[in-house]
Amino acid sequence: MENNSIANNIDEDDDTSLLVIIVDCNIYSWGNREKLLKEGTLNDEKKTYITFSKFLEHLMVFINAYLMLNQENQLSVLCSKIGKSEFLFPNHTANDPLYSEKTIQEQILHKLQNMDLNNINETEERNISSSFSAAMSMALCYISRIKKATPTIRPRIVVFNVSPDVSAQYISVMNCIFSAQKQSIPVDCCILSQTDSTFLQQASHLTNGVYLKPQNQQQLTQYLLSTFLIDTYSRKFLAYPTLKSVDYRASCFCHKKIVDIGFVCSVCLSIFCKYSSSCSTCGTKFSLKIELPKKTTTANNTTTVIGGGNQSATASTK
Amino acid sequence: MKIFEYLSSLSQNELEDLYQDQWTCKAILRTLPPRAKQYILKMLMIDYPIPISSAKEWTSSTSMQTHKEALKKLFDLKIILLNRSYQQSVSDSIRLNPIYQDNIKKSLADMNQTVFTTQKETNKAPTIEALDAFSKSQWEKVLYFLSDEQTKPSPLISELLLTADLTKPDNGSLSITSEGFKFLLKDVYTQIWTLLIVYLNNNTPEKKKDLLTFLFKLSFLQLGKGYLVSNLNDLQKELLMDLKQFGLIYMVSNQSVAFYPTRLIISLTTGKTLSLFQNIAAEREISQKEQGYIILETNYRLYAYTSSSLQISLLSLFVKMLYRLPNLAVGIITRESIRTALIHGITADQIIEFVRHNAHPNAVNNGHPIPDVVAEQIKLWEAERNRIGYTKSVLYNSFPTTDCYNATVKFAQEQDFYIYSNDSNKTLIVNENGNDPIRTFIRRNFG
Repeated sequence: MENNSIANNIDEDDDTSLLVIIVDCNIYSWGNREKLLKEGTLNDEKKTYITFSKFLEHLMVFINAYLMLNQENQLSVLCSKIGKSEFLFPNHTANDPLYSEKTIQEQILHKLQNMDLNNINETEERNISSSFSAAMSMALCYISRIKKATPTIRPRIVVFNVSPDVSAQYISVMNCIFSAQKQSIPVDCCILSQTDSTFLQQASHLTNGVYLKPQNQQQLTQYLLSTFLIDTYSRKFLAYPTLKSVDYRASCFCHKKIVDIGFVCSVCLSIFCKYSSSCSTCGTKFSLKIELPKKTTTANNTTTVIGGGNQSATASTK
Repeated sequence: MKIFEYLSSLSQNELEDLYQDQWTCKAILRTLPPRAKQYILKMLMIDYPIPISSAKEWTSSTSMQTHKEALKKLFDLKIILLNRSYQQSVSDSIRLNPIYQDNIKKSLADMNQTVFTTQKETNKAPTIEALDAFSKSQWEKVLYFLSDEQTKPSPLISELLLTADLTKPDNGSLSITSEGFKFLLKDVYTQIWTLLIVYLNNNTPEKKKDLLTFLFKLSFLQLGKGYLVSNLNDLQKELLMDLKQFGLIYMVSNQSVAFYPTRLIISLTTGKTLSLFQNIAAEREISQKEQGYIILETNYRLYAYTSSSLQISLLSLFVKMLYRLPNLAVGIITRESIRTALIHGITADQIIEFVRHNAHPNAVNNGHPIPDVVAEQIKLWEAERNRIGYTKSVLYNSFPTTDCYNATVKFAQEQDFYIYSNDSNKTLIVNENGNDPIRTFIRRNFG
């Protein structure tokens, strides 16, 4: 019934997809959570938090379900650790090219379970942020490589996030998001912490992905199976949760702080939190002296364009 | 898919017997259309019936039709059970078949999934190319036998072809039936299933279940790996020998310790040719070379880049073949050639579908695997043969009043029963389904 030739089945009932899972393995975030759980000092909302090992169980069910859906579904799992991100699967160092379904799960689980120990010594104490942007770029590179081989495959990224945003990574993360948007790769985000992630909100909003903060993490599997398993093909006709309000705040290029109101270079659109006489990115000199607006909390998401020559003084971005 | 037709024809008890096996459940899951798969997983963790109205929220409002189709398929396979409610206030509810649900849940939680024990790596193992070549040649033998009576397949296969009504005895030898012609134009998976289902029906119900389970299990094996025969039970071994004749399983000899699944058996349940992750590019080259060979031009000329006499004899079912070159055969589609095919019972859609399936990659890339003008013409030639349509119908006349006549005509039109009416002599013709409703309508309103 189905056509065998690959070139033909673009429009057919085909849900073969390539799923790249990015797992946030920030040991501090997970460790902190475990500590709080043990102390039992969590408020009601946080009581449903799950530990890393519990999370792994949910994740494995999800992976199992994904692989079960379609014989040809392809999978890749990345972890973003502190200061480093790496592939858990496919494992490029493994010399056996043929793997069975069994070893996929085992490889991933093995890697994830053994990760905590070999990682903790390497990390510097000051740096406790996970390298999400690196993982994201690796995911995109991997997708583009697979896409070259099978142009009809439908790629998708799922991010599991626990640690807070790192504003220092703003530029690289945004670049990744735009590149995902350009290639129409949906970025689905599952937020396991209390705070929303600005980056991931924007990511899923711009790429038409799912953004979900499960209310009850004990039942994470149900969220995963009913929402995150919906492939790109099925999204055309199935209902899935999308974001209603998105936090569009940008972070400045000079101090990497998230800013409500800032200054924008009229030439290269770089964002700064403080006024300076020249743009540090493109070197434009701002000749016009302008009246600095007072920062108010109500005027959210407004940025000031610094007059370069005869440009107008203020403008609002979205 | 052929397999769904077959499974849907089974009773609930038979299906639930099948669902006792984890692998069967999984194999069926991945064979379903994408939407149905998603529905199953949405309901997987819910242990109580949910109102059928809430299922509507899963779908976008633009695709209610496919939503209903997906649900119907799941009902047919008894994967979703409908609880009819007899109270007005409570709506009907649906739930997953508990046996099916349980098995899918189990397999999701199962980390150590192996179907059969694999054989240790040996250097004697056949390459993937060899396996492909083997299954191809084996299956082509079957098709050759159908298309020309020279070659003789194994007794099992010819027996099956006979039971499936694809061939019929004709002066001591076998000749192809019109069903057989249709069969030839179908894709390979439908062909295999047709024969396998005949094969299954030859067995007792208990055996049938075990055989189906085994077939589903086989689809989880890996191409290019050897599996130990010794771990199978007797019935499975028996089936294995038969599958070997189909070209679905490769064994070096009947006494070998290991068997090798071919691409055909692995892809059998999904009906989609499995591509190997590692060398997709190379894969595509092979598959294109093998699959697409037909270029059909708007002037009805057909070029087939093939040297296989099977493919040429297939084409000659509906094409007037003109020349044959070493790697190319040229033919022309004429009214006569299409009519011959139609008389044999092949439909226009089958011909068009066949050309589309086997279109040359270049034709596919142009976006026109089959020119519209040719496709239209083939359909017209078919329509030529069906100038009169038959519908079973019921005639009503001698209505007591014009009002009664008009009301009944209106009712028939609204309910889609209407076929013909004549106002002057108050005659109404409706289709067969309309008989009872219209009779009650007249009785209620005018009786």
